[in-house]
Amino acid sequence: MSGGGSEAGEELNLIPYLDIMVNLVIFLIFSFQIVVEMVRIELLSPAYGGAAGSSGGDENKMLTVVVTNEGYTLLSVDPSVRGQETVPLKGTKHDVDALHAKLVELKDMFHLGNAMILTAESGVPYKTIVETMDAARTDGAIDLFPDVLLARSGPAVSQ
Amino acid sequence: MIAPTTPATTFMVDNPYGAPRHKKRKRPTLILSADEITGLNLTAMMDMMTILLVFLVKSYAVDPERINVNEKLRPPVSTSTMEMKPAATVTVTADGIMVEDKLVVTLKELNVKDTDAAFLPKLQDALISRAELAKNIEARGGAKFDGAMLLVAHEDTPYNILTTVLYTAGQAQFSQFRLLLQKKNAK
Repeated sequence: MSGGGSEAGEELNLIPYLDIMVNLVIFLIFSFQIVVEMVRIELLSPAYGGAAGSSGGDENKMLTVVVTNEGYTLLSVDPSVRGQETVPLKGTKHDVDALHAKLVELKDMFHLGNAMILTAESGVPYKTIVETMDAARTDGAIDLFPDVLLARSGPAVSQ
Repeated sequence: MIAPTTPATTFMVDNPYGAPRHKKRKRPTLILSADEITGLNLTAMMDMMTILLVFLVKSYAVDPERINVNEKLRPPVSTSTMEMKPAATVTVTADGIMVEDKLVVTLKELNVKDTDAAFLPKLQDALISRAELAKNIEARGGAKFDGAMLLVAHEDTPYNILTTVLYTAGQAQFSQFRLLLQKKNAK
């Protein structure tokens, strides 16, 4: 008795299935792109910039870090805090380690809050801004200046 | 009586104490003529293709919150550990500014002016439309619009372009700004 149409020794025809698989694999290989894990940095909005005092320090003593093509300049709105400090370039690069050390020193000396204003010359690349934020964020497990308010300086861009 | 059969092994006459020698048997070789080959065995190839396909599909179906990095959009690396939160995305590549992957302004169109009030009208229009869409979604019971914006920018983007984009977004109902960066791998 023959149940069904297929005979016992007959194999499945895999060629159409293989065709589909080959096409799919080629399509996926060509559309494959590198993806990397992302993190975020929250910026303080200008309206909330004055709330820096809520983080424990004195809001009048907010520090301003200016990134220029010559290095870093640290300013304070409070004259009782040292007026101006500079961290020159190390070779051709910005000296983030020296900046970090200076920020730790100023934070301890003047009991500054967690917020700081960051601004830069117009041509300074984004990469340098992020390096500065990273240097200013923490000192080991202790928060340094994790809340950053970006301020504009110099010529703006327009259409 | 059954006659004893001849053993398969034979002793050499010149070395009667030596080990018996077996006669060499030729291993049969499978030589098929062209007419006898009926088809290739595709099972091994099928296995390989299935593994490749599963790997590629798994890699392709990535988290939607991830950003594809390429030569024109390589965000800087950061030591921040805050995980990404989804929001309206503005992307600044080496070519132009995009809102939700739609090109709004090319960088060639931009010029530098000595004014702090400068902003980008095309970008503002696109962001207002995006904010209105988010508010409509909220009105229909969707996610709440909190005015958050993600800024993804190429590592060489000049600072004045960044601040101009942020300023323009501030004029278009966005008030919370998040910078999206590549996670620095712990070594």
